[in-house]
Amino acid sequence: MNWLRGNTGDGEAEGAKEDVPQPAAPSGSNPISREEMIRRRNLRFANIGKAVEKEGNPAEVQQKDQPVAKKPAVEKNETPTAKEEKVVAAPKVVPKAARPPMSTEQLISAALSKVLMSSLGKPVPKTTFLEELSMDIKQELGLGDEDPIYLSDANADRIIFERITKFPEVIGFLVDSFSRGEEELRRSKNEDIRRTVESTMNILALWVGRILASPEDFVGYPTSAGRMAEWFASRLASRGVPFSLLESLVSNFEGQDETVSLSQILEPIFAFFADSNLKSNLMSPGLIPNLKGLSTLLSNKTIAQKFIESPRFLPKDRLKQGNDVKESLLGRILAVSLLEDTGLQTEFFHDPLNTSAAEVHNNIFSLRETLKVYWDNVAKIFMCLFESGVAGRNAALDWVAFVSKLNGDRRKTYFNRDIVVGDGFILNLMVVMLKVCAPFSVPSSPKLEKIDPTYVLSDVRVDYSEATRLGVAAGSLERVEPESSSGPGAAYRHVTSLEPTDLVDENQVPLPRTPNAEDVLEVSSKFGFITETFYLTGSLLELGYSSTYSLYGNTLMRINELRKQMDRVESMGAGMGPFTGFREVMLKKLEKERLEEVRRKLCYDVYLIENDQFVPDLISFAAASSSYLLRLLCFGQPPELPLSVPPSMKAAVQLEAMVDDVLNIMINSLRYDPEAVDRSAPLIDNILTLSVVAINSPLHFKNPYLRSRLAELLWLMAPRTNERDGMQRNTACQAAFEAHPFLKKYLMRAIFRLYVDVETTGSSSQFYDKFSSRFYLSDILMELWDDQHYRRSLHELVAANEKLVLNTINMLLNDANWLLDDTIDTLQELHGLQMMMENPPEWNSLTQEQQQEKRQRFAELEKKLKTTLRLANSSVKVLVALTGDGNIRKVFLRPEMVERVAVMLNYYLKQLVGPRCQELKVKNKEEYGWEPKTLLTDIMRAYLNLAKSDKFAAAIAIDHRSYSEAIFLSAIDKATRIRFLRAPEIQEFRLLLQQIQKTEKLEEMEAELFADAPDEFLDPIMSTLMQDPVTLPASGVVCDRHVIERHLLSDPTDPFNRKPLKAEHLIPNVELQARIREYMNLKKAGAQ
Amino acid sequence: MALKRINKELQDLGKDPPANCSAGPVGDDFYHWQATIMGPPDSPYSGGVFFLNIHFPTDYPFKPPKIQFTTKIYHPNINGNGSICLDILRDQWSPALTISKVLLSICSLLTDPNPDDPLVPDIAQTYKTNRARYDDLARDWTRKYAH
Repeated sequence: MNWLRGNTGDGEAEGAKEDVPQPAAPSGSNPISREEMIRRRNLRFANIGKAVEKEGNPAEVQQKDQPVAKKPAVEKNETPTAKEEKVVAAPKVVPKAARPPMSTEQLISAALSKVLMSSLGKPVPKTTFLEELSMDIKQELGLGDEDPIYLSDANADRIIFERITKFPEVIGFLVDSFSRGEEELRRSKNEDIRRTVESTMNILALWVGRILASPEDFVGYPTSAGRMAEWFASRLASRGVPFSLLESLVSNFEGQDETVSLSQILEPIFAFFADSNLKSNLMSPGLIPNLKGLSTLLSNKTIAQKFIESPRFLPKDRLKQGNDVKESLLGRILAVSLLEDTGLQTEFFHDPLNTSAAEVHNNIFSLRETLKVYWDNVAKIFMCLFESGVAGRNAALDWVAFVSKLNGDRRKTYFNRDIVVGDGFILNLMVVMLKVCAPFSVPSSPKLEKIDPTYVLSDVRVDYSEATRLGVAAGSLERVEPESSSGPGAAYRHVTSLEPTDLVDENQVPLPRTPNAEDVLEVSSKFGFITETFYLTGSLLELGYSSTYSLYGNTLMRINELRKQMDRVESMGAGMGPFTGFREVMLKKLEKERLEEVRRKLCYDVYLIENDQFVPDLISFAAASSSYLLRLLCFGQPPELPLSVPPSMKAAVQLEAMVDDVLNIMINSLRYDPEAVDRSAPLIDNILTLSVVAINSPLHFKNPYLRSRLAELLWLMAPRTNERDGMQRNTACQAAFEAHPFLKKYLMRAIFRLYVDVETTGSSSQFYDKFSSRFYLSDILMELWDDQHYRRSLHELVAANEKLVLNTINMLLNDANWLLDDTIDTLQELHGLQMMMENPPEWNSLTQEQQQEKRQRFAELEKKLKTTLRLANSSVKVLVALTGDGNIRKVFLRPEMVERVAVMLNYYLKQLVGPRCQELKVKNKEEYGWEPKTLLTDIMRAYLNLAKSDKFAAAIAIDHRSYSEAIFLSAIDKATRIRFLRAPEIQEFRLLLQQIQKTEKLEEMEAELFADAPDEFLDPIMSTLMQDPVTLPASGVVCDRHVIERHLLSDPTDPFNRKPLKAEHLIPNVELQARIREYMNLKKAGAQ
Repeated sequence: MALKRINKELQDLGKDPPANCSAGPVGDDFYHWQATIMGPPDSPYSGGVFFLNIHFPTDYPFKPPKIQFTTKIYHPNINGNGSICLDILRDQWSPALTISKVLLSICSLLTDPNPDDPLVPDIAQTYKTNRARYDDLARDWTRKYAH
């Protein structure tokens, strides 16, 4: 059967029941006995009237309606066994079966009469009797009234013309007749009948074309081409049209010399299908059938060709801004969206706040199911174009590229939503493209190798010249003449300026050299379909993804916020006379706004949440992108670190947006639809590997900000013991962390490396960004702290790369210090304000304006305190953990480190137990996360951890700022009273104090002894007597080594002229050192 | 640790005080100073005396001192809490800088505000679009809070 659409509607009564499979059967004898036939006939008559209902047997129903003219053919084709019901249903056959066989002429006439549902000569039941034409023919042939007129080749055209010009429903007649012709061809083996039917069908197809092009010239009632197109399109959409009719139309009108062109016929039909969507919404009953109709039409490659040639396909000159693409044919089709359709939103979510959850869920479900069917059908239309040949594929890809280009604004954080296409449109297109990519967008697909990485250097469809690339700085790609003379394509060379230090890792180990490094990358001139769709889908993700999810996130926040506001308004004293009216007005207003936001949320839920098509396809695409990129980075080898240098050129030129897409997809899926991630478990390994590789490879991933965002992704994926920020433990990710050899080997290194690198990300908000990145990293570290595998890998890291660990600890101390300092300041100010507010005489003496200002400040401080404390607590936890590990502790005890950690701990100990500790008392401290006891415990534990070395006691002793015996005693006292430390621990703390006191005396004596040292012996930064003076090569200034090295840990520049400086560049000043030693020895000798 | 350094700075301030500025410890706490800045004569702050709080964090001078105005001032780079938006107090700090140099920088910020990197966008807007009004308001505030 060549029907592309089932027989669903109810068209012409006569034709409607014809669509029943009837296998061709051998003609010939009828083995059923006469008696049997009579028995069956009686049976049938007994059942008359019930036939239709009876088991709904279509064959039986059909037979009841069979026109008489059909009998001979039917009889001829009966098969004894398979078609028994046919016999049952054809009782009138019986008496006629006795007649002599019909002539060929009669057989043809009967077949034509059946096909055209028309009769000549005399009326035949169930056909249209063409009386006028009969009379004309009789007259022409000189026949008598009773002479039969046979339908034949000679008069088929006239019959058709008669029906067209004098009867209604022309399109229906033509299409149905054509279908019946097909049916007849299937049944009939008689060559004469077949020939006549075939030529009649050809005439029918010709008339379909003519009528569609200029119906006014033929049809006997007022009509127009548009109206006819609508008839034809509706027919395609409702019951379908035989595929062979489309083929016949094409073959008849494709030629250029035809007066009627194929485009002329098709254009109004295309327009109908596109424009009918203007009147449809997602739930319109006509929407899906129309899409199916169009894809039926476009499944003919020539018609698809005409579609892309239509002036409305991509009228570039008329499309000025993003939104205009909706005017194009495909644009109309993609513009059906729930997200922008307030009418439908109100219909389905009229009052969601007062509707049962089950009903809301049901509505979401039915919208989502329809949306999925819609997506499937739109995807079919695109596939028709992609598969229609080179031209069709190019045109469709051009269309996608053009839509991306015109809607580039959607990439920005803020954009005018009125001039670009809406979220629904872009999501629709994204889903369609993801479906197109689905066959290869799986990480293990061998087809990924077919993606040509040089696409991003070409300008076939998209201009990538301004794009940011992963490993190539702007302006460092140089165009060169291609070496091979074969193609006209361009070639590029990466002008790298790798410093010698870039070629070694942090531990001064040379990085592996890239084997056969491609110096010049030649850009292909032709790209395959996989390459094109892969990269174009990437561009679409950029456009659709972030803005959609950020709107969704904002909506969720806004709903919470409104709920809170309503609670506040509700709690405003109900009985207070003048306020009552105000309260009601406010509540109504807030309620209305909330309703709108909830509606919006529900609509986005339909698209983004638990949608078993959308999110899994996205994750799969992200995983495939990761796998593809890893292959490029590692030259097809399994990933291993460090990556070789110089970076693979093919990887380096890839767009940063590719990694951005992976990040966005994963972060949003984990936040909003974690179950989808669980379902995609096998895919996430690649994404984890890519994250760790990227973090560890700054030469290959040049943007530090991009690498810092990966921290958030790793954090979201890392195992978590408790629910955090409303994020549940994700089983798939947890399992991945537990059984991922690459992660076990390199994750710790990635954490430490990024902890240092986020210090400078180049973003204007880097000062604050680094805190959140480090918060994520600390949290991962703490979650994995007790995992034996990860701990072992951390120890290996300290052994192999102590410098990296030192740098990390330096940053940790910087942060802890800043955050704790800020916490203390904020607590003190908050405390002061609270005291003032609770003191009526003082508070009432303020003006209203002042009170308002104070209240505002109070709220600001509360908010700030929460954030700061969260970060501060996290860094203190890491400090305690790291000092508690025997392998890592030694790093804290290095000369450039030990004094500062001592000073820091002393300072906060003083704040917590010293004379001003009362100033840190605030009400509702739990709300801010302020737990002074826990902080004090942590700090004392850090002391105990470090006290295992003598160097630490000595470092405490020289701190004049915060250390005092009184503070230590007070801390011991508190710990004993509140019992947060065990007795042996308290004892250890006492021992530490004794040791400090011993060294303290020595230190005091020395300080006095060297008090008159000349300025040139003093370090210019700290004003202390230098032990190991070194010259800074750029500025020529001489500093003490441990001082300048401490500075360099946080800031790799010469402090005196800001020129780059590294510890290795410092020049020992031996001569000065000798003189200082001499001075000291002299002084010591003098003292003795 | 940093005591010697801070002491040195205090001595230098005494020996060679910067124009229109002064600074020194509050009470016996060497790590908490107070500073005063006289409104520069060629600015609308002229005639005012502005007080500032200086707090030395424990990692001074590797990290910048924390400096805040305690006198209210109408300025695009100084907000209602007295926080100052000045690069050398954030990521452009260097251990080679001193309190004296920082105070001088603040003085020049009073003379030449930086409206392109504002802490108070409203004031920056006024400064850019209606200079006379900005001058008036700055003078008003100086009279009101800094006399």
